Amino acid sequence: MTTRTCHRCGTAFEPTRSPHGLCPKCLIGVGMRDADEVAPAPQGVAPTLASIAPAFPELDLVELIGQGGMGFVFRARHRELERDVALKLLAREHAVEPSFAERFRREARTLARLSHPGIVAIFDSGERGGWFYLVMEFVDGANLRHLMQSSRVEPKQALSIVSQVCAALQYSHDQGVVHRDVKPENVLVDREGRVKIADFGLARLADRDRGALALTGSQQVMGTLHYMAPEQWEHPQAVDHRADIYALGVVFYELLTGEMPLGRFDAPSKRVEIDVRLDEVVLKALAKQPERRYQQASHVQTDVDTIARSAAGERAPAPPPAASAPSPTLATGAWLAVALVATVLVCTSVALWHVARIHFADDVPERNGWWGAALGLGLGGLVAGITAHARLQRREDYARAYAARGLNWLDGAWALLACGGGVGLACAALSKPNHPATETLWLVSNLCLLVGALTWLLRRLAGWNAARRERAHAPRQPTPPLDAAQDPGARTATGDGRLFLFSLVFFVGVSLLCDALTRAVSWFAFASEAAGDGLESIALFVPMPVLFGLPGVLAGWHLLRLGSRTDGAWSRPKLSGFDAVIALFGISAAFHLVTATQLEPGTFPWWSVLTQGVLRAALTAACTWRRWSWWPRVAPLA
Amino acid sequence: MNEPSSRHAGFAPTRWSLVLAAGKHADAPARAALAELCAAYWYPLYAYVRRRGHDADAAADLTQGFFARLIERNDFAAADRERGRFRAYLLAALRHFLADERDRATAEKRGGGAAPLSLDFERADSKWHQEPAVDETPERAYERGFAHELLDRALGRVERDYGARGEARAFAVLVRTLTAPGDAPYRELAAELATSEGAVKVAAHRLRERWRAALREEVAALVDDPADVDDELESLFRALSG
Repeated sequence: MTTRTCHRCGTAFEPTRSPHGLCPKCLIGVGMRDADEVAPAPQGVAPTLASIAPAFPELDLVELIGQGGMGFVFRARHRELERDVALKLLAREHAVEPSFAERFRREARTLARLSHPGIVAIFDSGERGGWFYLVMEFVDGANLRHLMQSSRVEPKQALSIVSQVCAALQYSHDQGVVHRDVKPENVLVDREGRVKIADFGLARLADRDRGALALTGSQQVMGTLHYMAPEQWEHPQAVDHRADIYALGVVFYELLTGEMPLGRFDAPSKRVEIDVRLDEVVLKALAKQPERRYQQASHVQTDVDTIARSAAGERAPAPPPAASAPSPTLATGAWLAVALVATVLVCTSVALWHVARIHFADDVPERNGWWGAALGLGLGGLVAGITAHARLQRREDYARAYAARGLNWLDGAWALLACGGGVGLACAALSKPNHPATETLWLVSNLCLLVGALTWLLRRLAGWNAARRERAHAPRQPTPPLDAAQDPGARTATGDGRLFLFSLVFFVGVSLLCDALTRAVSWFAFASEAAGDGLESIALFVPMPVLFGLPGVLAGWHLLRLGSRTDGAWSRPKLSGFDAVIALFGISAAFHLVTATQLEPGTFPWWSVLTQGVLRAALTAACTWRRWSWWPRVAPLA
Repeated sequence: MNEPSSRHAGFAPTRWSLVLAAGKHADAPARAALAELCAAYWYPLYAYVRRRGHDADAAADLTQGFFARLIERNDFAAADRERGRFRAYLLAALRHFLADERDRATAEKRGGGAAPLSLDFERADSKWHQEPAVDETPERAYERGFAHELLDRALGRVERDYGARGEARAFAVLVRTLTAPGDAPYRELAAELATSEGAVKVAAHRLRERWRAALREEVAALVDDPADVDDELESLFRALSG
């Protein structure tokens, strides 16, 4: 019969008796309530006031006010100075290493150097009666955890708290001190709403004491786990101040929504009614890679303060949203109307441009005048549409009505464009061939379809897509951010936009190359008479696209491959950047092939357009193949 | 996990509330449920009787006699106060029974004929001798034994679950991370399972979730009010504290 001492909870147990040789107490601990959220009683029992009073003759101990994995906190009154202080005792079992005392002293000295209204001040520290102790400023209030549990924290209050936490963190980071354990339990709020951060650097003490996380017992680790930046998991010793910014992001999310950003979490504005601009701040603070996060706590503060100020300025005179909230139908109608007007304006401008090109072919000044008008109309329509939508988007009531339907203005735009394009194509097919009006209609309809398809793609990819709706209804899994595939937060915010950009770069590059190739081939096939191009035009049009296209292709391809293969943050569970490229090529191939059927067979444009269509179709197939062969997969277990 | 209970353990746990709902005049299913629960958690009772100073034979007799009376008549009115929780009820009933037995000091009535449960007392005796020879109260021995049985049952269920899905090996490797999620050697485990570190972390987390669910389910089966699960877990946690 052998007994073993569990190195986490310090309990002796018999490995032969307990299941799989695991510590039975820790096993039960896993199943206990809030094991993942709240640290329950640490190992050992709190010492009685009477037992520690002799060691601290200068203090009148009042009561035990808290205990956690690191030890116990008492409220006390300093007799001489007649002020309330908090006495923190570090559980003796932590101090197993002989070097602990020295490190404790060093950390205490560092902490004592921190002097900031947002940081709990240290008055005294040392070792007495077998305890390592810190005498600290007493904060008459509650910690954020209690605050959140007792009542809902208003968004305005949350912004104020986060801003103050940022200021304190920035100060300590400037002093070279990383907190490493920012969590609601360590953020104290006094009765005037002033925020003070406690336990600076104590986590580091704990970390070093016994490897990474062992010291404070499994429960404590679990409690802190969700606030830990991914790099803190992987390389606990190489953590810098950006880990605090991640933890701050978690606290911020929790303050706004009352929930932890676990697994597939929603942007805060989808959970509660808050300014949508806060989403970006929270998601940026929660970026998985430290280099994508805010680099300084002060930057978070600046953004938060800006939003708080503008909210105070804008919201104050606004009527309560409940009174004026439009029905989802009205809101959707408004979106669609704006999309319709913008689309009509843009289409008219294209039509105008085309008609002017045909009618005033010989009168260049007149034609240019019309082209200017068309350009103005098109741009005006686009700018007006985007501005109107942006204004609507900023109105919470409208945004909410859309969210309720899972719609946004891009839905309206692509639906209208697709319908318009389809109807236009049908009319063009029925109209008199070779008539300028038919040609114009043909061109505009094709353009509508292309832009509609691109809009749809944008909607799918740019992080505004229906996946959010799914996420809102998906069962929320309390998964800690362990794996890239499990952590979509950063991905939606930045990854997809970037992927879309890479896809475009790649697409444009390949298109330019295709163009150069087709021109060269047509010149050889039809000679300069048929093509209407001389050698000098080939000399101009072939090298230029190659010059610009080749770098685009190489860079785009490399980034896409990298994104699809190695970095889960750049790919959605169901979509990758390759899908964008495939769609772009597919659409352009279809466009070219359909256009080729409208042209006289055997002539130069027919040949050229057909070649382009075939080339693009081949590229679509090639990309589809690469996409599947590079699709990232998580290796299945066992 | 060769206790008589193990053949049932793969299914949803038998519920104590079922027995309670049946009341004094228990019907056959309720009686079967009670018998099954007793069969699962009899060793802690045996350990308790042994700690009270009875030798192996007497303890076996008393345990068997207690079950006979519990399952046939279930008339420990004095223990009714504790009815809400199987663990507490079982101990209260046993104490009551032992007190009765001492008063009467008669062994012939014990068992009331055929033994209701087939219990392996030989194995129990050897298990008993493996227990640490520390000075502990009978109550404590009972609590600790009970907690161990419970853990065995719950972990056995999780293990069979994994086995049924052909993931026995993953379980055998990952089970080590259950109590030490923070500092488990994920890289080595990943190498052992020939997969990525990230995948192991996710799998370890899932195992933890499964374990948590299984344990809570097992405890929920032993209390009348589901709200008592946390209290019960806390009692067991305390019982195991050094």
